[in-house]
Parts: sequence; C-alpha cells; structure tokens
Amino acid sequence: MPRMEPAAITGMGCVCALGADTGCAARGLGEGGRQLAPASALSPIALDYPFLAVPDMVWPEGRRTGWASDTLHLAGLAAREALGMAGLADGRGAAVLCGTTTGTALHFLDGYSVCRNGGAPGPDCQAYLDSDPALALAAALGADGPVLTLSNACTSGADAVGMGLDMLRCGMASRVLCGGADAMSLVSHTGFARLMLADTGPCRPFDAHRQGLNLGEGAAFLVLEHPAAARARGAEILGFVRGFGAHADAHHFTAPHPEGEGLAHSVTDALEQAGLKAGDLAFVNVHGTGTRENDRVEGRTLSRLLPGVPLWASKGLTGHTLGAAGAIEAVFTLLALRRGIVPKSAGFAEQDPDIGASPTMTDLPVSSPSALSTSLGFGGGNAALILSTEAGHD
Amino acid sequence: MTSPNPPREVRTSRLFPVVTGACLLHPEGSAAELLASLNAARAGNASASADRAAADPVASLAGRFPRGSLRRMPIYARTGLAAAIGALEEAGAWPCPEQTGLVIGTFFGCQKTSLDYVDSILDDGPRLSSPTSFSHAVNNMACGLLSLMLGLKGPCMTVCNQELSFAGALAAAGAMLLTGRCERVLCGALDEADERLQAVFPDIPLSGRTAFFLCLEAGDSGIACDCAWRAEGPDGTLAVTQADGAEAALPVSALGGAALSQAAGLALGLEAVRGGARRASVRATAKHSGLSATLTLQRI
Repeated sequence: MPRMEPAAITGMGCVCALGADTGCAARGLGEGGRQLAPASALSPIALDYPFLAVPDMVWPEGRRTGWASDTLHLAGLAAREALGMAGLADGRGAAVLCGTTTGTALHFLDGYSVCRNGGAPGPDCQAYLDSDPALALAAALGADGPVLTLSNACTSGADAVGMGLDMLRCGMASRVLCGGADAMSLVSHTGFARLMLADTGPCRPFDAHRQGLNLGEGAAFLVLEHPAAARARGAEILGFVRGFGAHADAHHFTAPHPEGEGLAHSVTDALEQAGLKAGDLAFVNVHGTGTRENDRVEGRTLSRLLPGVPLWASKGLTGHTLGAAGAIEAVFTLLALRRGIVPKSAGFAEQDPDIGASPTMTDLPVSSPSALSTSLGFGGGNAALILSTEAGHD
Repeated sequence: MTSPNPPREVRTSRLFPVVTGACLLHPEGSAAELLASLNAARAGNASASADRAAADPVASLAGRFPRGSLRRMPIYARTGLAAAIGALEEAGAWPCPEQTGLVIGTFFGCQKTSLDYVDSILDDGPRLSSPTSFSHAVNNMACGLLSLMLGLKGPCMTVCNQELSFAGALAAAGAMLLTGRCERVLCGALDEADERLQAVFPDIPLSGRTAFFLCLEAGDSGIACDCAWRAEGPDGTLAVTQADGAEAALPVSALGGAALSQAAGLALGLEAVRGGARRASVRATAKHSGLSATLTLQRI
C-alpha cells in the first residue's frame, strides 16, 4: 500500500486490570504487578481458571445492574475519558467505532436460562438489546457520524482503530472515537477453558512453559482527528496512528497460519502506509496470549520480519481482553512511546526454543518514535497498527 | 439477465463503491412476491431475475469445493457462502482474487451455534460443555469460514449494529475501497432465526435465514453506493449519493417504511426491534446501495 496520511490522537481512555483510567494504566505498566481474581468471583459455577478483573471501583453498583451491559459500561468509561482528554464535551461531529466480542454475543445466560424454563426473559436479555456498544455510545455521547460495532473476535479493537483511520482518510468522518470493550463473560470463560486454551495460574506469554491465557476485561478508546484540524482547534496531539494492516489467513478457523502469512501481510501494509521500515520500530507490542500456537507463530513471524526489534508482551498484566485487546494495547503502545520505556513482559522467564525470540525481560529505553501493535483472532484474522509520537508527514 | 432500464452513469470525478454483482437468498415467500416488492421500491431502475429460484443453496455449492469440506459448516454460513458466490459470479469475479475484502453485517450472528453452546453449559454444566460449539459461537464465524472457503486473504470484518448491521457493513466496505485497501469487497447481510431466540425476544418477528451479498468495486461510473449512516439521536439521517452523483442527507424519520423497499429487511431476515427509524434507514441504505443492479434471487 502507498504511504498515507496519519491521524492525530488527541485523546485516549483506558480501563483494565491495571486501573480505571489511563493514568492508572501508565503507572501499572511501570510497576508490573498483577493480581488474578479467582474464577468464583465471576460465577460459582465457573471452571477454576483465574482472570484479571477491572478494579471494584469500576462497578459502584455492582456488575450486571442497571439497563446497560457490563461491556457498555466499560466502553462508556473509556470513551468519556478519551473525549475529556481531547477537550471535547461530547461526541458531536464524531464517528464511533467499537470492537467487541461479548458485547454482541448471545451470552445472556441468566435470562435465557429462565426463559428456557418458561419464565420471562431476564434483564440481561433486554440489556443485550439496549447495549450495542457503538450504537449506544453514539446515542449517549451525541455522536452524529457513522457508527460501527465490529465483532472480529480478538482483532476487533485493533480493527476498530484501523477502520477509524480509514474513515478519516477517505473523508467518511472528520473525527473518530474508536476502540474496543469487553467485560468478563461466563460463556467465554467456559469456552476458552474447554478449548484447553486457558492457564490455571498466571499466564506466561512467549515462555517455554506457557499453558494458555488468562482472560481479562476492559475497554480503551482513542480520539482520532486530521492533524491540521486538531492543531487548528488547539488540541494537544498525543501521538499518531500512521498505519493499519488487516489480512485473513484463510488457513484454519481457530489456528493461525503456520508461517504467519496474514500477520506478515498486515505488518507489511502498516509499515508501508507509515513510510517506515522494520528498523524504524522501537518495539512491537505483541498479541502474546500465552497460548502455545499463537505465541509460536507470532514470535517466529515477527522475528523473521522485524529482526532485532524488541517484543513486549503485556497480556500478563491485563489478561486477554478479547475485543478490547487491540485498543487497550494501542493505548499501551502510545503510553510506552511517550514515557520512553518499553516495559518488561510480565510472566516471561524462559525462552521457548521453538520460538527463538524473547520478549522484554527488563525495561528498555525507547529507541525511536514509532512502534507496532499486533492482534490475531479466531476466524483467521490479523491486524497491525503503527503508532508514533511523530507524524512523519502531514 | 439484462436490465430493461439501465442505470444512469454517475458523472463525477469522485470514486464510489460500485455494485458489480448481487445475490439474495431468502427462505420464505415466493420469488415473485419478493420481486414485486423489490421492483416497486426500485422505481423501475432495473429488473430482478428469478432465474435461480427454488435452488437449494447447499446443492448449489456441491462440486465447487472438495467433498466433505462443507459437512461441518453450519447452514447459516453455507447460506452466506452461496450468496457470496452468486454475487461474485454476477460480477464476473469467480474464482475470487484472494485479496478481496469481506464484510458481513449480522444482528445476532449464528443463533443456532451460539445457543447450542449456551444450552450445553446449562444442560451439561461448564465442565462438559462442548468446545466445538464454542469455537463456532463467535459472531464472526461466517466471516472466518467464508474467507477460508473462498481463500480470501484481504481484510475480513463483521459488523453487528443490530438492524443497521448491513448499513454499517456498507460503510466499512466503502472505507476499504475508497482508501485503496482493496480493489473489490464482498459485502453481505446474513442472519437466521432460531426458535429459542424467538422465545427470548418474542417482540422481534424473526423468520428464516437470509443472505444478501453485493460485490463492490471502486469506480467513477456505474451505480453509486454511498455508505455512511449518520446517527442523530434515536433517529438519524442517511447520507446517500444518488445515481446522478448528487448527494443527499435523508432524514430517516421522514422516510417512513412504506415507500421504501423491503429489500434490506428481507436481506436481514428481520424486522426492526424498536421503531421504524432503524428499519427505514436499513431499507434506505439497501435501496441506495445497488438494488438497481440486476438482482439474483434464489429461494432456499
């Protein structure tokens, strides 16, 4: 793809296991601590796989209360933080794009259970109808641009940011609020456990002894604008989204292509759009779920494509937040670039010879203004985003 | 089949998503009834053909793929696959180039596999629930399987905006084309009805299983298809570029349901959940997004 215009990031918001806002996330990335919640905190019948929960303060009234789904609640917190940081009172003039998996899935287990037995559908069923993340956010924030909820499994958040970039570039929107959100779901928690993709202890992305992922929950949003428009209104530019690549493997429904073909195409596209080469990257925030196959394919592919570029796996701190992951990690990538430090990768201790690459084991100084964030998902999807503290060109 | 009323060419330097092929697979009602409603809504711009009526979508796939490769593919995804191939064939783009993009709009995803998994948790307990069902309970299941079967290696996206899912899919497809990310995008609406979900949402008149796919390319002439849907509180306006290139922002609340095609409603197999505004906006999107192209109907 040809080199293309970047988008200015004027706001970001994040809620995840590290805290309820972007400041907490930045501090948490520096400290590197993690505390897993027991499965029983999700449900008394949940299989015994721990997860990484958002802080209790996020749910002042408890989970599953009120009219909105938990996913929409998280999305609202992150989106409002992003708008506030951008100096915007509401969403007027903005498109809204939200990636999610549980937010659009038929996961209303409680209400459906009652209904199966002849009762009236429970409140979680109505919450599902009222909580399509992008539609409900747009209505709540007064956004009047195009509205998209993307459900592309684990690439959803990155795809929402990338499609937001495309909408700006092609003139479909002049401002974009884009990100991802997913709250914990017993259905997903059970599913990953039954697929034997979850770890019973803290996850170990890229480690030789990794045994699977920890699920997590959270949301993150970015406000994207044309750089000139952001400057014209006096907004502080926090960074730039400079490239996006998205390619399917067309290989297997749940397993990545063994040579990482779709991932490689996605990375190449993103670099070309940004006008960058592999050596220009300060680091890669990897998808790094801690599952055997994802980490093997991703590690080998990135080592081949981007030799010598440090890899940073952050899911040890947040868990795999599914549809939110790509957006949360875009925020993390920008936070690391702005802080000038690539954090160590929580959970990693021993290199897997089958991967032949190690993620960061200590904090490293950032060597250049740009970095890559990658996502892979069920269905064979891959996505790559280039974030930067410099525009490159306007 | 050639249209008796060829669409006007768009005379503008701007690039548009242009519809080069379309296919609708719908389970209920006669093809003639569908055609009548579509023709009435399309204001005589084109004709639709019923030349594939009564064909079985699964049968239509036989011989195209290795024996047994469709066996484990849910009928929901197979229906989408058949409609996608129909659109590609009408566009003269079959076999499909691998860098073709794919965008599917769906309200609920595959209800059957999703609820099968939830049922397995409730019936058997989490420890014995079916892992196979879970892997097919994600809303992008059809997108993943279609990319696999068609060998598509471009961007593959699933849009879940309730009744606006198809409108959103068109917006995403338009952005892919107009940025040059793809030269061709398959853009579809796909939904099915399952009686278990009907019990949960008795007010939503779910019926059947319907797939509607367009093959879109960027062009500066032909049938324009503008894709932006702009929210405006609970109602909205629909930005459309008409066949003469003029742009218009149609207030959705003023569109009403009656004057517009049922095409998108049929394509989604759904009626609106709440209020006519969303239904109207989906219908308006479909009307202005290529239903003046020759349409292939297939009864399933």
